[in-house]
Amino acid sequence: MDEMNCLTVRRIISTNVRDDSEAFAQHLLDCPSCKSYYDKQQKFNSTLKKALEIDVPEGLAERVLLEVNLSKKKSRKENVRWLAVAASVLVVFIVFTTTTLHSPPALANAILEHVKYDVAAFDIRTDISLDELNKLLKPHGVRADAGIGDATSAGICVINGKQGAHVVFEGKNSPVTMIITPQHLKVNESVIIDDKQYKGMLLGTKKGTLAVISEDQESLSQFETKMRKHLMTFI
Amino acid sequence: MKDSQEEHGHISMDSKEQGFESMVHAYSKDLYRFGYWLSRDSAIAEDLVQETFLRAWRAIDSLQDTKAAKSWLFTILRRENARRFEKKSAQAELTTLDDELVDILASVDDDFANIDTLAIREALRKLPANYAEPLVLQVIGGYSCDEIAEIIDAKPGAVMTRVFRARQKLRKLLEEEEDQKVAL
Repeated sequence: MDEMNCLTVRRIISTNVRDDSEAFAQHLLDCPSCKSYYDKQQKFNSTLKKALEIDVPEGLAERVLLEVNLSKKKSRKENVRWLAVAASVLVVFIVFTTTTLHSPPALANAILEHVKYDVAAFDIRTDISLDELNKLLKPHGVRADAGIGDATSAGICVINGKQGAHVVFEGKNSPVTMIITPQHLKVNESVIIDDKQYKGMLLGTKKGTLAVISEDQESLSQFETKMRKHLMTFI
Repeated sequence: MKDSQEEHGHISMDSKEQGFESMVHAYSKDLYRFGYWLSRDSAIAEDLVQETFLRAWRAIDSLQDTKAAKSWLFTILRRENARRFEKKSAQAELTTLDDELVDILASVDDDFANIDTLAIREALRKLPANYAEPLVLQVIGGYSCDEIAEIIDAKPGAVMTRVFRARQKLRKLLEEEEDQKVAL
């Protein structure tokens, strides 16, 4: 067994490094000075531990778990949103490829079904900048300025193999959905949508059809006014 | 009978959530204390614990060994705290301890064992963060110098130096406080 000198032993004691070696124990037995130093350090360590163990706020673990659960739900909601978008894309694709595409009522019904199916996206806020919005609208010959209001979510709908734009705006009382279809789904005359749940209209633009739909007439009327002022289309 | 998923080495969502919940109950207090002594602020400490567990949950699949959970959480909290600041050159002076130990040998008759916790807390609050950090990990976390070295990404020798100096600084601060009391 290698012997330890006082310097080594005190280095170990001072840094509170655990040493289970026989040499360390033996030195403490043989050296009263180091043993006294060791005892004082042990006492100090116990006081230090008490001092560091400050009170922890009541219910900390419960709040942490609540926060993590909320985050899980949010994440699931995000997934639902993307699933809803994917599903809506599929629905639009199927509907538009299997219905008479140029018939205004058929188009109105297809868009209504699409909006109803996509309802999960309405309460998810995904901040869309004006630049992002205009990038989405540009291929359809539409441009918005800031006065159009906040888009809470936006995405691309694939309609009959071609891309359409799907944007949800914050309405006065209820969200307003705007869908712009590609050119080959263009309506030549305005169509009013009025079913039990949704109200809206289809408008022909130079490059396709612009549909606006909402559950609330007031939100829809307000958006229409905004649209005419702040949406540069070729209606 | 064992769950078939477990037999294939996969952990089911339920057992993952239960394991995570146990981790929160087992370690949130120690993490809070670590966060408090890093930030010296109870609100920040709670935020650090929240953020640590949020990140831990998102990355729970990367935790291979549940025995390493505690160190993993301490590491996350430390990184979260570091995000609050710009990275500083935190490399402490790494000289040998022998010279300073010689001084200690001459002052064996200290009486710090009688110092009360409030005085220590006051002194700890004045301790620079890079000294307090390994000391708190040692005392609260119960880690060895090697383990602390892994958590704070330093060499074990550097950790030992910092722990030693932390204790020295603490003693000095307490001494000053005692002197002030005597002077009053």
